[in-house]
Amino acid sequence: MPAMNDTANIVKIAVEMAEQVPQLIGFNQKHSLAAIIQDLCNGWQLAEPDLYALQFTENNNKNYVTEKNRNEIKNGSILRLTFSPSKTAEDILFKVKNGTLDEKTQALEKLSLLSTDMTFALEFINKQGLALIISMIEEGKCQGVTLAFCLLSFVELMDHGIVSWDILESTFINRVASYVNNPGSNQDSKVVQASLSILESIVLNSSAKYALLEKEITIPSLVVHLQSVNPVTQQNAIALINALFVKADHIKRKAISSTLSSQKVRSVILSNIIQAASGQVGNEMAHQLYVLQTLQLALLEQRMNTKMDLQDQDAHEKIKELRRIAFDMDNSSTGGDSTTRRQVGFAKDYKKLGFKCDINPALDFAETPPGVLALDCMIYFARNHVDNYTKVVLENSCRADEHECPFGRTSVELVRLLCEVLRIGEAPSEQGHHYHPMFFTTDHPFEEFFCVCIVLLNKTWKEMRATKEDFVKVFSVVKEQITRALSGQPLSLDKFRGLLQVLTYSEITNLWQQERTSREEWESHARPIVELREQIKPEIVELIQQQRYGFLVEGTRFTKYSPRGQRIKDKYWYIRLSPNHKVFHYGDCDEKSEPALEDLSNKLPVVDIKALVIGKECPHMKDVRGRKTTHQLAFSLLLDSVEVASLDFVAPDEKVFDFWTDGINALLGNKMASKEAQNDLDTLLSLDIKLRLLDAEGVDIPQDPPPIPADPPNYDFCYELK
Amino acid sequence: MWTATKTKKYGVAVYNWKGDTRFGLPLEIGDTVQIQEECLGWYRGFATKNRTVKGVFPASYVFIKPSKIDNEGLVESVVPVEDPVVREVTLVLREWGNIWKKLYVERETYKFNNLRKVMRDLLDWRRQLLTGTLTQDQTRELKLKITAKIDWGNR
Repeated sequence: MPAMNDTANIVKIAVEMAEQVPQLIGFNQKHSLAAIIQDLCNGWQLAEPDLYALQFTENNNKNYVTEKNRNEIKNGSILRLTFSPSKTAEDILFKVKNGTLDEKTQALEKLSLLSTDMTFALEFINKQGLALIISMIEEGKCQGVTLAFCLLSFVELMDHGIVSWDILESTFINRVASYVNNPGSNQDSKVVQASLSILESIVLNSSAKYALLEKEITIPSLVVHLQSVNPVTQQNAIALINALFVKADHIKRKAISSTLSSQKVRSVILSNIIQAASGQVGNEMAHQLYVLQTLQLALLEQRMNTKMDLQDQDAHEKIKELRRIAFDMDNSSTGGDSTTRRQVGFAKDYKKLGFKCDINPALDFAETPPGVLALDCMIYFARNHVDNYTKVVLENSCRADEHECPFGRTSVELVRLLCEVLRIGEAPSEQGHHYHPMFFTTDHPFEEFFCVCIVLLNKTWKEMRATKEDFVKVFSVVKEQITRALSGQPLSLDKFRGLLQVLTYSEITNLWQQERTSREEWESHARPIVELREQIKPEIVELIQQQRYGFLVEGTRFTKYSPRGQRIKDKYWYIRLSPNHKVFHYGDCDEKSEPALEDLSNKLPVVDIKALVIGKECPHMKDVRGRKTTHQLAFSLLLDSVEVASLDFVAPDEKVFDFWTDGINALLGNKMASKEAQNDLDTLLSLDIKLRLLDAEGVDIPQDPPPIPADPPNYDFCYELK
Repeated sequence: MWTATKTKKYGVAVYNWKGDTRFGLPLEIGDTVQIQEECLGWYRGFATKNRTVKGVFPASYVFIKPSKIDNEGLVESVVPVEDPVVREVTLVLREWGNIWKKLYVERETYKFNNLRKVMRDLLDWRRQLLTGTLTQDQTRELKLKITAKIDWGNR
């Protein structure tokens, strides 16, 4: 038994080593690594096995083999025997401290690669290696590639979370910040990349250093790096901006946001990042842009969640202005009107504006979300898109029927919907990568977005010939239009408008219809429905059978054929089944008659039929040559009787052929196999299933059987058993 | 402990169940059931297609639909709360389904195909009504269309 166990524990692998012939060994998972290394060293005649360790050689895994990860070794793995982490760390430290510039650079390059391995990083840090690297960076004597590897090594060593970011001194931070602020023209781009990523980590991981860093780094200095041609530099720069953004307090966030929304920064993002990648930025960049936009939009959250204060004069002014822009364009109003009359007139105007509370529209902004954000958007629309605004308002206030679209009410609801669609107020998710390029094209992305959508809403309202009761339905369509158009990631507001133009109400209903159809298609394959089909099938087959019997009882006139398959001119015979389905009656007839049962002199009891054959199997088709296709419609009944060996038919068309062969097969207890039978089965079954599922319309059908609970503890029913 | 259900009175089976348990009531997907009492994940009641057979079935196999109860108790009557036009279409379709099968057996091919087309239209419209994406105007129009079709069919 132990032998058996041993083979199960052995994986067959190869081990290679520089300048040595590789060894093929059985790697016993139960033996200690030290023992295995000892064996390998013996094989290559190496002294001091303590100095060696094994390493993986896969592309994405070059880590040292440890007792923890050794189970990742599989049959066929290739390992490398190399100096142990401890020995390597010492060697690197020695070279970095005492080597020539070239040796130093090489050692640092090696360090930057090895540092991704936790096992090595621990050894190196324990030997005060990290402290050395930090002091080298602080001194600032390294240049170019050497400096790049130095910084990269630092990033990798810190990445394991072994050492706290709080240990860093301001000298260090100042130094790294200087690489970001003054990128020398011949500086290695990796230096900037690593510096940006170090600073990002400091911001995210050390709240104590935030204030210091914020003084050193300004957004404009980072924007310079967004103009880099290197996507990694751009990415790291945005990541740092996002980190600063996310950790800032509300006031600072506003400041950062206004810098970022400036024409200059927006156009850098738009042209150097998005357009440079032809709108197809990498996944990580998409995520960073998504985070950036989410943070910027989050600034609207406060307005969104604030309801209008009835004392807020500014807001009241805005409401009055909405009225004025819509109705007082001629400027001829007011004068000596008394206040009360003006109030009455205003209320009428507010009603026309479509407010819910025409007496006091301020109450329309009491609900949050969208709160006063709705008012902000409406006034923006009125001030900046006067033509569209007056068109929307006047069009609806002049309608005499019930189809007017109330501007006030719909605007409030629309802003709420837009907040929902853009997920305003939600923290950026780790996975999110859906950003909106068009938002980088304007100073007021949300407000402009609203202006496009309110026009869309009016258009859709008209297309739907909606009334106030249809409010919810119109919004479900508008939401669909907006989300679909956004998912196309239009590069500008105009492109967005263009997408919406195509997504008319009828287009949306078409898409919904398609989705329903494909859902139905899916459901027809769902397990419970397939089961149901099988359950109903016998009933339907029974129906088809009855129908075929009916056809046979009615009978058919066939053309006569010679025993050699030749059609005989003007000779016909007729055959029908008795109503009790027991006997066939047949006899000659002319081309028009349909003889009654008693007029057909020949009888063939069904029990005498031995078999049904079709096509070339038929006795009268055996000798048919040439291209004639008569045999496709031929069938014969093979009999037990002596005087007549078979009854031979040639059907006038396929349908008669199918009906007869189905009927006879059913009589003989065989399966009805014709195409007609299959068609009928499908037709009858599919509609029958639909009728049975009428009450389940719109209810989700589970793919797997729902769980069945444990049996009830008793059967003491409240209503007695009957 | 079995207790009479108050609001969960009416539902539709979302899966087939063999009823292989003591007092089990077998269900076919799409069957409507009336529920009288419940106990730890089980309901007891009957399928509306055969009211005389009572039994128990897992609650997880039933999707509850809104209903109105009259005369609560042993002889209570439960009426599903539905749009009357939808209800009417359901009943008409079921009735026509039987007529349709008869037409098939009698080989009334022309009528059979016509009726099939009309039934498919009705199925489609009924679904549009149920999905609730239509405006009041459209709903009104559709209902008129449906009633016209039903009148046509009943002639």
